[in-house]
Amino acid sequence: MSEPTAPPPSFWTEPRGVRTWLATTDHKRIAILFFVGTALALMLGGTFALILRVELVVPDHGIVGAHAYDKLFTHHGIVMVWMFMIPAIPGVFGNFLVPLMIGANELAFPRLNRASFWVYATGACITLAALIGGGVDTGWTFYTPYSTTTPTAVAVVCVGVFVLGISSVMTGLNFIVTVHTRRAPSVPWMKLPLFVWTIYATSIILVLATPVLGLSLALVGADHVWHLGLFDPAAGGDPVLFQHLFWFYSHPAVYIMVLPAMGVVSEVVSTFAHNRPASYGGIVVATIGIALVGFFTWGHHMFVAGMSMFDTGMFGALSMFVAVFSAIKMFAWVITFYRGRVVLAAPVLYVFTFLFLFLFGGMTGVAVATSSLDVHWHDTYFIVAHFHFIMVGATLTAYLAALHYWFPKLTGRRYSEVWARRAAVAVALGFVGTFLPQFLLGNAGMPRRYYAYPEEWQWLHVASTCGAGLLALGLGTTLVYLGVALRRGPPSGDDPWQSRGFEWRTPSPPPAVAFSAPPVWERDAYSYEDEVP
Amino acid sequence: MISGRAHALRITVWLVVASEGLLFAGLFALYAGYRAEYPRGFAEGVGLAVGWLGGTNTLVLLTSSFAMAAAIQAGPRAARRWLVGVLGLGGVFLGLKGAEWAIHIGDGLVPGAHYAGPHTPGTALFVTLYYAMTGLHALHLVAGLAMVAWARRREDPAVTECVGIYWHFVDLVWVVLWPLFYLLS
Amino acid sequence: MDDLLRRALMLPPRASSAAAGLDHLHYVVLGCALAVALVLFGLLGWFVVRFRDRPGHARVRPGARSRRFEVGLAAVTLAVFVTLWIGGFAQLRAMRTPGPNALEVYVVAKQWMWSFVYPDGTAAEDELRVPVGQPVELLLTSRDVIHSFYVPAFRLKQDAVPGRMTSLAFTATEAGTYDILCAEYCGAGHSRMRGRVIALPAADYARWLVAHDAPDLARAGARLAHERGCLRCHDVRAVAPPLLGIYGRPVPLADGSTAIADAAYLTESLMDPAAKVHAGYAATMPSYLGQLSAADTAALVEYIREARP
Repeated sequence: MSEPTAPPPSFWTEPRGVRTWLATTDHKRIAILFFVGTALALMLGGTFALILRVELVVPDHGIVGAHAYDKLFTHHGIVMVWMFMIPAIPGVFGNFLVPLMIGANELAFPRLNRASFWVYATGACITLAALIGGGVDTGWTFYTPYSTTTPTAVAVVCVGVFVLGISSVMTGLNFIVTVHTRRAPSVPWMKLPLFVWTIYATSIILVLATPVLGLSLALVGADHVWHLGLFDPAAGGDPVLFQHLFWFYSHPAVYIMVLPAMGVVSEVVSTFAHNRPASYGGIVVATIGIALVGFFTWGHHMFVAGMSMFDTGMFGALSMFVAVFSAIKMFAWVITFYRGRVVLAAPVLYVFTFLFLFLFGGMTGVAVATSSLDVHWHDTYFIVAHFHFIMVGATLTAYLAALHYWFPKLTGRRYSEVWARRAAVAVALGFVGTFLPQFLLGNAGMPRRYYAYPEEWQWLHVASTCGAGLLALGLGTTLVYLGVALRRGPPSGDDPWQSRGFEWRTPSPPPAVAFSAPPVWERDAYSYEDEVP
Repeated sequence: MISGRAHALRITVWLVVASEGLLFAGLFALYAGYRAEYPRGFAEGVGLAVGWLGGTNTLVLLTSSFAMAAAIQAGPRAARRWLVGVLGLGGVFLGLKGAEWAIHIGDGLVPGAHYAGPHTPGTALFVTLYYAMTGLHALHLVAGLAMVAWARRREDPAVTECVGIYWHFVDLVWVVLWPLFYLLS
Repeated sequence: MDDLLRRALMLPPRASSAAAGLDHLHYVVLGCALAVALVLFGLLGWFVVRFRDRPGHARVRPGARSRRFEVGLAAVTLAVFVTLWIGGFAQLRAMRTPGPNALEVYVVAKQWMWSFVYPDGTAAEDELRVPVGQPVELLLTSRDVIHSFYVPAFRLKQDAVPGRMTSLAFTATEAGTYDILCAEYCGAGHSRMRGRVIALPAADYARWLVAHDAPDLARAGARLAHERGCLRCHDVRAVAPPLLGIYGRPVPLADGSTAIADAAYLTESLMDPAAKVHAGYAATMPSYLGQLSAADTAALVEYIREARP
């Protein structure tokens, strides 16, 4: 880590030494550790994805064999879901900002927070150790009875993801207790920054849904080792019960990823529109609404698994409510720009990409929830493109928006705006270029997880791979100019965006102890009214 | 700042209870699904249970919950004594549970490939669930014992109260497990 | 217009009664998405240009926000989504309901092939023949892991789950040959688990049926069991387990575990008899791997299933 050259003492440098970093209980340092972890996971998962895309340039027999291909998409999913997307925004920006946004010096349980990072690291190592043992070929969804009968290292991965889940629960619990007990007197509930609300809602999902994931993976792992036959029809078990358990977590997990992303967007939109968010109350209600309704939509992953018409109808209808809550937010974000003072900069460019991906990802979600259309699209590239738009695209663009928006907060330095804009455009074009052809492939009927495909689809695969290349280029560029900025970027000042957010009311980067006394903030985090004559 | 540490602890313990509750809920859902599918196999499985051991254990845990409640009501000094009672009863429960497992394993009721129990469809699943659910419950009890020991050392009424909430939760889970595995034949 | 849209969206040709309705709903949803996108991004673009930060940009106080407007907007959105859902759900109901006098065909998936067995005992692998215009109901199951029966030209898909029977109803509308794909990941051969549906005009289909003139499946199995000498051992209790009434019952195995004598177990016992030996019997049975066709195997399994005491 670099040290600022003109250092007002900050959390980066005090106390000094690698050991103090490894043993740190400071939420800001833990955030940086999570950043390192999630960025490495993103690179690893991205590398797997690139190999997959290159493989798919030819209809059959490309650079890897069928079995290696199966393992690559499995580990791509596992790494991206559990090691990047779930911890990305809560682990990095949640940790860094929630205390600063509520006027606290620490989370409620600093040592629990430290443990959550090291548990995350342990879980990640165990999960990756499976690669040394030959990898897993089940797909990240671990569908039984394939997952309980395949001879690959299923049990190891189950243990690894189980441990990652423990880290999630610890993080979530810590945030909830922190928001309840550590708010400064001048931050009542309805003045919480919207980002804090989304982290709070996410934490509820983390605490309530993760145990069910842990349970289902523990059972799959145990079944794989001891042949319990819990989900194997040969022993009387029911494979569809596993799917219910799995999606009971894994559907809300989508909201674990996307809710914090929505929080980032709310903050960035308000700051760069220099305007109070349109309908703070609406956004809060929608946030909590998504978190709660999200628990009751898991069945829409199983419309063609042999579910009854009644269940199909209920799950489809409930899914529509999630769409309405999302639409409320979408409207609110756009209207926030109305009569504002709009400043265009890299973070807001990422937000535009987010809005695009979110709208089309969301509307394709509505399309799938109409249930009859899902019969054609289920398990095709259409679904792949849909969830990459809504879950990956939204999370990734919000992560990048957050990184660019709060980079000065984290480091006290500025990056090259020119390069940042170039990268933002490359990421946007790259992402859409990768997945737009996949929507069409899904329409044409290309099932997901196919190693070989009919030749008439090749041009779409080539287009998709080109998009992936551009996306990788954009992300690689980001890494370079942010790395340069970290060492040599000019000082940013405490509040380079003239934001009214609470987090900008401390020095950037913040000192190890941000508040010597509970802060008294008279104006709330979106008070741009004084700009209006 | 709102009343600080005690408040934080209380929220934490309720969150832990909710989280663990869903963990068990997943298993209860599995049990319900399979019981609906194999009513005979499950009834036969319940018939294999060592009824008096299950009943005794229920009494033991209920008594321990009573001791826990008394510990919370009592002053710090007396609480220490009540907590010893909780620890003892928890130990007795685990001992009996271990004995019960040993009896079952001796009868060939082991989950997985070496299962040698009745072949009514569903009974093997029942046995697997029996070990999974009572095993998970026993793990929670062990964690609970560790917490009780910690509360006893801390002598902090807030800590005792929170550990008590967790202990009652573990007790409550058993009160649900008991009919599922011993009574509903 | 319809055809142009279909091609632009890369949708395959339509060959079932469900396909056109699905495509049209698809257009409606896509149209809604594009309309919303146009309005929202139009507004966004206008706001960004009109209110961008520039010298001389004078800010105006945003109007008071109306709760009525917010709730109304949410209600309209909900109404649109619910309408779409009703359309889709009604369509799904219609798709799931088999037509009158549906031709029932059993589909057994396994790694990595599809077997089809007709009610008259005709069996085929990777090739399903159906008459155009007659409702068909497929009854699907799997012998190993989950597969999914998918015909893009029919816009239809249904998982084949081991240990369960699921069903899929359709009526082919255009004669032709269409791909069957496996849509649920099932291992290294997943992408090669392909078959064909051949939709024949009714007259051609009838001619094909007659040409096959297949015997009843269970009866064929009985004859086969007799010819192959299965019953020489399996009738005498001391040598091999009797087949009478074994189907669906738990079988105690030599290693102490149990297996259910379902199609999967019986097939395995034919192909790899040493894998799961019935407790109390010697492992003397030879393997029939490569000696029995899939149709023969299905016939034998069907025979055992029918052989009730």
